[in-house]
Parts: sequence; C-alpha cells; structure tokens
Amino acid sequence: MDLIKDFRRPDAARPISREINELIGNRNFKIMEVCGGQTHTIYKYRLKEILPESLKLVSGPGCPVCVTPINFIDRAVWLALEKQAVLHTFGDLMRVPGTGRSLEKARAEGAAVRAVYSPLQAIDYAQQHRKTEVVFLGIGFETTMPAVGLAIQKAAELHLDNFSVLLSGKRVPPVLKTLLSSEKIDLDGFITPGHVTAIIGTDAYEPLCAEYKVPMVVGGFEPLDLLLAIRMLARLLAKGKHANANAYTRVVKPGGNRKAQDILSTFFIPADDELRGLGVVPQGGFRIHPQYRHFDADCRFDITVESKEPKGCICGEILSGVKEPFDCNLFKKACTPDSPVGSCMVSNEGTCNAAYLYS
Amino acid sequence: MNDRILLGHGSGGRLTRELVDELFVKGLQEAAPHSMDDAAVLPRQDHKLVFTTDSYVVSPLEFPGGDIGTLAVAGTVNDLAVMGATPLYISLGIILEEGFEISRLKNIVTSIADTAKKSGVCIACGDTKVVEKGKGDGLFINTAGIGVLAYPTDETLIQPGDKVVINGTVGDHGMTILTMRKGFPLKSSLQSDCAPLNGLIHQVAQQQQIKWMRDPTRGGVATALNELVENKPWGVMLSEPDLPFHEAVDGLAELLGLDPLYSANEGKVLMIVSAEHASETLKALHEHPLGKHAAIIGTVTADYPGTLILQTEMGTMRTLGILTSDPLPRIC
Repeated sequence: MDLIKDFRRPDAARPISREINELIGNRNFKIMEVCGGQTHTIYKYRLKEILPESLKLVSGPGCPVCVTPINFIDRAVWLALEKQAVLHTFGDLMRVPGTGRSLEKARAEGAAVRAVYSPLQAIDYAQQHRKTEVVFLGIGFETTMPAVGLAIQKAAELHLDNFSVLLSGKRVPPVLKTLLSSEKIDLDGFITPGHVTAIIGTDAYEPLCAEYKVPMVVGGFEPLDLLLAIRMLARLLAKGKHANANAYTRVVKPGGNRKAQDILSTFFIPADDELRGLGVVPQGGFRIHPQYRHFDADCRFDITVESKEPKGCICGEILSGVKEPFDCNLFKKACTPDSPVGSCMVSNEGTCNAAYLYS
Repeated sequence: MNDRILLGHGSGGRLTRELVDELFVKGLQEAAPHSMDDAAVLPRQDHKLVFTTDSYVVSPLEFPGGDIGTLAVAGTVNDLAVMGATPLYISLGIILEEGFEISRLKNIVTSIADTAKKSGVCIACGDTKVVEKGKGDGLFINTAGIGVLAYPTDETLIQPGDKVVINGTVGDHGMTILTMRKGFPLKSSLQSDCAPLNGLIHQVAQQQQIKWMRDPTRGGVATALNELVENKPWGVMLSEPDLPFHEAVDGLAELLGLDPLYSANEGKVLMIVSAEHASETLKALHEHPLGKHAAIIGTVTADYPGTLILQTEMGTMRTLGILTSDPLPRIC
C-alpha cells in the first residue's frame, strides 16, 4: 500500500463524499479542523468542492507558529540583541513579525539566528561553543515538545551551562476546552489533530466530549483521512449524537505514545499560558519542570520587553474559528507571505497562508 | 604549484599565468581553443545572434549530479537553447576566494570542460579574480553565452487545446541542493538533473514547430508557466496525476511541506506544441537520453484565462500562484 497515493484516490473519495452529502443534506453545521496541517490539505485539495455547502469547515488554533504570542518573538529578539545569545529555531518562526522586528530582520541587523531541523542541533552547537549562550526556541504542541524534552535531557547529561530553552509549548485539550466554553464560538464538532493525538491518545478528549456533548473525531492529513473523519462526524451529526472517535487508526491509539508522555511529564509541567487570539488559557501550555529550571531561558535571563499586536490583524479571531482570512481587510493586500502582518500568513500551517496559496 | 589559491593568483603576474596555464588551458583543452589575447575574435554568422548571461553562486559547490562548473555551462547553454538558438560560445568569469583548494578547482574546471564538450560550445574568453579570505564563499562563476537563432519559437501561435510537455521528472535540482545543505538530517539517492539541453531541443525542433520553450529553473515549473499565462486570453491546466516526479522528490516534498512544482530544475525544458504534434514530440523526447521520462503534463485552456490551474489527484481544481518567496536561497 502506498501511504501517500492511496490516500488521494478520487475513486475512493467519491462514495465517501456522496455519503457525507446525503447525511448532511442542507442542514447547517460548523465543524473545526484543529490542526493547521489539516487546513492545508483542505485548501490544497479543494475538499470544499466535494463537500456539502451547508457544512462549514473552520480552521482551528493548531498551528504552533500562529498561536505563538508576539511577545515570544520580542523576547527571542531581545535575547539575541541584548544578550548576544545564539538563537536556534525551526525555520518557519523566522518571518513571524514581532512588535519591532521578526527574527529574520533581527538577523539582518546582526543577531545570530540559526534555522535548525532538530533541537539536538542546538545542543551540538552549545557543546562546541561553551562560552556562548545558546537558546533554542521551543514552540509547538504535544507533538514537538518530546523532542525539546530530549534536548533538555541531553543538555543535562552533558552538563551544559550555556544552553537554555525559551519555551512556548501548548496543550491541545485545554485549548479546545476554552473554545468550547466561549460564547462567541459555536461549533458542532471537531476534527481533532492526528499527530498531537498520536502522542496524547484519544482518551485525552473523553472528558471534553462528555462535558460538552460534542462529537470529536481524530483526522489524519491526507485527503481521504480527512474525508473519513468528516464522514464519521456527519454520521454522528445526522443522528444528533456525540462520541469521541478515531478516523486515523493507522497512527493514533487510545492511550497514545507512553514513551513520549513520560518525556513530557519528566521535563515539563502544565501551566496557564497565553495563546495568540485566545488570551491566557488555563493549563494551556507547558513550563519547564522546576528540576530543570536552569535550562529555562525565562529563569536564566531577566527578559524585559513590551509587545504590541499589529493593527487591523484578525489572526486571533481566525485562530478561534470566528472569522476567515477573507474577512480580513489586510488579507492579500497589506498582508502577504512576502510581508506578513500576522502569524497566520507565515507558517505553511497557517490558515491565511493556505488561503493565500491555494485560492 | 601551491595547493591553495593565494591572493597573488589574481594579481595578473606570474602566479596568475601559472594558474591559467596549469589549470584552465590544460583543463579546458579543446573546449577553449582560443589565444591569450584580451578578447576573442569570432567569425561572422549568417543568422540572428542570441546573447545571454548568468551568475552562479550555488551552495554547496559540489552536489550529486554535478557541481558549479556543470551548472555554469549548462545553465547558460540552456538559456540560449530554449530561445531556439544553437549555442556557440560562452565566456567564463571566475571569482575565487583566497585559500580555495586547487584540487577542488581542478575538478570544477574538468566539469566545465566536460559540459562544454557535451553541449558543443566553445569557451571563447575568460577571466579569474581572487578576493580575500572571508570576502567570498569559495567560488563564484559568471558565464555569458552567444548562439545563433535556429528554431525561433512564437508564443502568439499558442491556442487552446495545445499541449504542455516536459522532458522528465520535476523539481530534482532544488530538492537535491536542499538535501546537501549543512545540517540536513536525511540522505537520499536524489541527483541534480543539471545537463545541457541543446541536443535534446535540437532533436525535437528540427521535426516540428515548438511554440514556446522555457527552462524552469528558479521558481520551478509553476513559476515559469505563471509567467507565460500572465495577461493572456488563455490559461494552462496541469494534470497532477500526469506530472512525473522522482520518488525521493515526492517523499521529501511531503515530509517538508514543499511543493516540487516550485522547486528548481537545471535539466528540464517545458514546451508548448499543438495537440496534433504532441505525441510525435513525446516520441522524439523519449528517444533522447535526457527525455526518457518526458510527459504531456497539461493543456492550454480558454476556460481559465491568465491563470495556471492544477487538476489535483482528487479531481478538484486549484490555482497555482507565483512563488511568493524563495524557500531556498542560492540554488544555482
């Protein structure tokens, strides 16, 4: 079986799309795909063309770059320019605008910013440059955090005293809880994120599903994965039922990945945290475990910056599914991937970026 | 001879002479038969002349499938060839950084000679300069090329129904360079497609009218076709299932979230021919070693004027816009 091509077969998609159309009819439903990767697939394959018009798909807050608060970029830039720290970051954070400048612009002004594929590259660098402060910008959801945890473990083993992590790690279930308890947001169901759920397991959504009586189905990232998840949701919606289900069984298990969960609980603790657009979400993020606080850039440095959100940008409302990119006055005008105003235009998981590229 | 480039190698004195004699004259041999005068005197031509220039700053300098030398000759030859010209002469300007290994330079010169020989061009003139260590990144090359117009293309002949043809897999060069970058954690069997295309183009062009040609280098297939359709009363529809991709390009693109339609090619040519000539064109391409995986990938359509459209594997349609920003600098 070809794990890419076989999940893009139009002949397999047709009957699924037909069933979804029959189930939904012209009743209005609004469902959210939580992860930016899923948004990307929906736009890239124009899935809305083969889905009922009355079924509205809205993008969620599951793009790590997008939900990273502007203050995080400002603090990173401050570390690079004021403390001469050598920053290590995943590439898609480079162009996210800060209050004054993005990391890319800071680099042009002389800041040391290196784009890496793995946090372990920052460890290697710190090992080779023992007199230089090396900071890894640890952003992401439960999917990325285990790799950051491993980097901290490695740094501890090597007794590195010049390595730290500026953390902005987010937790999906509390973020979904915030969306569900908001009065502004009216959602009939969720396509929960495939990769995050591979780590935390479908069990993690049980309490939410029971409390808010909302159908939740784990979806993958290929067109057929998503259609299968939408069909499962449509079957539930048609009957007015809710359940916590899984349409991505080839990757996601009820209990998730225990090893990764152990790493998470060893190196991090859940904490209240700010997400762009959603404000402070109770237990919505990670902090570095007190036992490893010497690897926490926020403890290591007394970072003082003031941040301001860009005017006119509605990333926040887009991230919480209230608005769409086309509702924004800046979209495709002042805000493009070449000169992004908001974070949603930067990352290729961002809703505005997907909407810009594929429509 | 020294084993590394010294500033003196660019002084114009004895060291320069030694470098030119030992490396360039010996290395290039029949590819550069001209004398040591300040400029080359070229014979009069009966046809219109076609003239181009390009600078090469690829990083890293060596990559699977070629090096900056291969690229510097093939790239300029291809710019001439896709204009319907027969490439005849190229110039070779090299800027070296102090400390560059002579052995590496020798290999690059060998690539230049081999590629010039393959494409039948003569290196008519050249120049070498050296900059201080830290002021250049090893080596940069500029080549200019002159050819005679043999098979003029005419994009005003393009009409709905015409076919878009490519001579092989899409996006190989860009993805290969990506995998060679420092710190890239994956290995692959991928090779750059870097090659001179004038022989292949000649094979097709002598049989039939090619209405339009372009080598989809930086920005890839999607950017080249977007430039073509801009402000035209017709558009181009590409068929995703018909696009030839190397398996590794497909995999890398999936993994990294990149679209190979925007990835650079250095040995590919896009052609537009009439529908009735499409299968003959394909046959002619298949007979050439650089056209084995040639395919008809799209159709000119009146339905989407000024637009490049992709019919996806799922059967849905979406627009392919122009490349917004280069995901990978210094690709050629």
